[in-house]
Amino acid sequence: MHNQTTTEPNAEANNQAKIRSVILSALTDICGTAEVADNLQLDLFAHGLLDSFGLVELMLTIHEQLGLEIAPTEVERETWSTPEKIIGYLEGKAR
Amino acid sequence: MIPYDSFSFFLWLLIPILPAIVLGLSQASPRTRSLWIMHVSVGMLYLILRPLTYFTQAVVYFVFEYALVRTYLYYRQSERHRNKAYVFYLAVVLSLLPLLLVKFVPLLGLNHYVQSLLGSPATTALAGHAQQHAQAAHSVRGFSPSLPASSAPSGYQSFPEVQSLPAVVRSLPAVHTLPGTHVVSVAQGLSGPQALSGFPALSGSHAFSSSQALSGPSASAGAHAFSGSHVPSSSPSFPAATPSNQGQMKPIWDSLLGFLGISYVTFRIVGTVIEIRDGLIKEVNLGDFISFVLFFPTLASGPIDRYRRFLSDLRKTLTRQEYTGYMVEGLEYIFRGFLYKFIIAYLINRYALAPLTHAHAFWPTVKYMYAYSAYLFFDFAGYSVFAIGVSRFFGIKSPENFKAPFWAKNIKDFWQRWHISLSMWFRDYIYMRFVLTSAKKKWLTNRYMASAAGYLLLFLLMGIWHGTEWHYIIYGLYMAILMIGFEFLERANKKKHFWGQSKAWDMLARICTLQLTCFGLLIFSGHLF
Repeated sequence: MHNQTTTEPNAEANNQAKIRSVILSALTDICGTAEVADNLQLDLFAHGLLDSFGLVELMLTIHEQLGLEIAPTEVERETWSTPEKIIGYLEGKAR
Repeated sequence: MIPYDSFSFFLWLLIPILPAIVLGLSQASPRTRSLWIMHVSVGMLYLILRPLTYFTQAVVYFVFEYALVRTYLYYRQSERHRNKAYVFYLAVVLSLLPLLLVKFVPLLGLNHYVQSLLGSPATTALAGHAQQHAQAAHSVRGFSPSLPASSAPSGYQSFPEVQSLPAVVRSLPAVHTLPGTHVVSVAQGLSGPQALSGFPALSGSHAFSSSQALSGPSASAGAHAFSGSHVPSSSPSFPAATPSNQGQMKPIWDSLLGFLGISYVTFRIVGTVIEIRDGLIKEVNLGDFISFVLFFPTLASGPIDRYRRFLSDLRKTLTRQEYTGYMVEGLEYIFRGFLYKFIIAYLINRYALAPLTHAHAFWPTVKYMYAYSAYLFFDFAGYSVFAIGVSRFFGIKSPENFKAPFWAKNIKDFWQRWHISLSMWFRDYIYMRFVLTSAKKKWLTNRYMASAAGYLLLFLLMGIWHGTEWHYIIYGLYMAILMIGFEFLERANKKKHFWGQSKAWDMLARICTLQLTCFGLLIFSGHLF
């Protein structure tokens, strides 16, 4: 969360690419299906792919690999329901 | 006065609601609407908690919690301090302290100290009632005539508490309404008012509960119970709820210490403290905090709202069309409440549950299990939709509490449909935080173990919150075991696929889940032990 202060466009693009790849690979692991990486609009909760436990694992990955802290009640599940929304939220937060 | 329990409460409701409708239809600013909410919440708090001693305690409680929240917020906002863990835990413990006192003081037999501390008003108030009924009580003792009034298992309050309800019910109710039941408690000293007597109604087993009365939470239940309609306990010979009780002023709270709704209100405050720690809440002012914590439609037994969500409703500008939509929804909820609570739950209690109260053989217990589960659902869901419906008239979309819980496909699904605002609270603030922290700090190397420990913690806490009696704790353990077992099976199924996908499999899953959850509620009812 502190290493993104640079405003260079390149750095930001790199950063976004990193967030995207970290989240997609983490989701693939947690949900146990590659579908999440193919369909970014997939509703993870509605399809039973992500639950509280999976969410905790995702937050851990975000903490360990991206250095971002997400509190359990920070995001409503509706606003974090698809891979695309998760990535978008994190990009906004990293900025 | 127990909210949504008597006709007179609905009449009183018109006082806050009619002006709220005028404000809503005239498109008053969010500021004006929230001022009205704040004022009527205080006024209704007095009406609900009378006599004065309970109102006073609620005010003292509120001032304490507000000071705590502001102090902690100041700490978190201050540049000089870091976000230290022990300060956070201290703040959480302090915010829980009043509830812990309410629950454990009676257990420890400290009631007479409380009595002398609180002074005579409360005591006299209760004692007066007690005396009136005492005679009756004696005579009755044993069976609890009082039941009539309340005994509903209801528990909206905690509803889980259902069982506690009885206690509560009795206790207070007893005091007022019931003739003799409560007397007992009197004898015991303050605590007396409590449950003891009440229990009888449920089942003999409870008698000892008197001490349990303390459990504050139950009180709510009790509240419920009072509602009068159902006394599950009432023996067949006593017609269930007697109308006569209704309308009388009944005591709502069974113990001298605490007040109706304290267990629910405490959740809102602890949630707020946790979010202040996480940096999610950066500002708290007195007016908003009064409206949020003491919001009267949801005071007694939830739904448990969250500060940021509540505030966004409070600040929302509503057009006339939007407000009209809210009113229509609110009315629909309220009518559903009448159907659930005053018709279906009442009938179940009267014709299915009450006759089985003292039946402990195998088949009657099985029948009791289903009747109780259905009763609990309709009674508590009925209370909840009243609370949600009335909230709508103030422009607040209180969260849903039940979504067809008996149609759940598995136990995890059940907890997303049953007393949702409570289970989501525990999920977010206890389970997820625990698992996350234990992984970060490497307390448990295996994440599945961490998850299992998280469930155990969650459900044990939930059990104790309902009441300090053993069956609540066993209920918590039972639910924890079901959740842990389900997670295990779910993981195994991902590898081996022994559970099919078709509709028939789904149906089978629903039927199995129904049996397991109803059995859990039977434990919860206190009917078994």
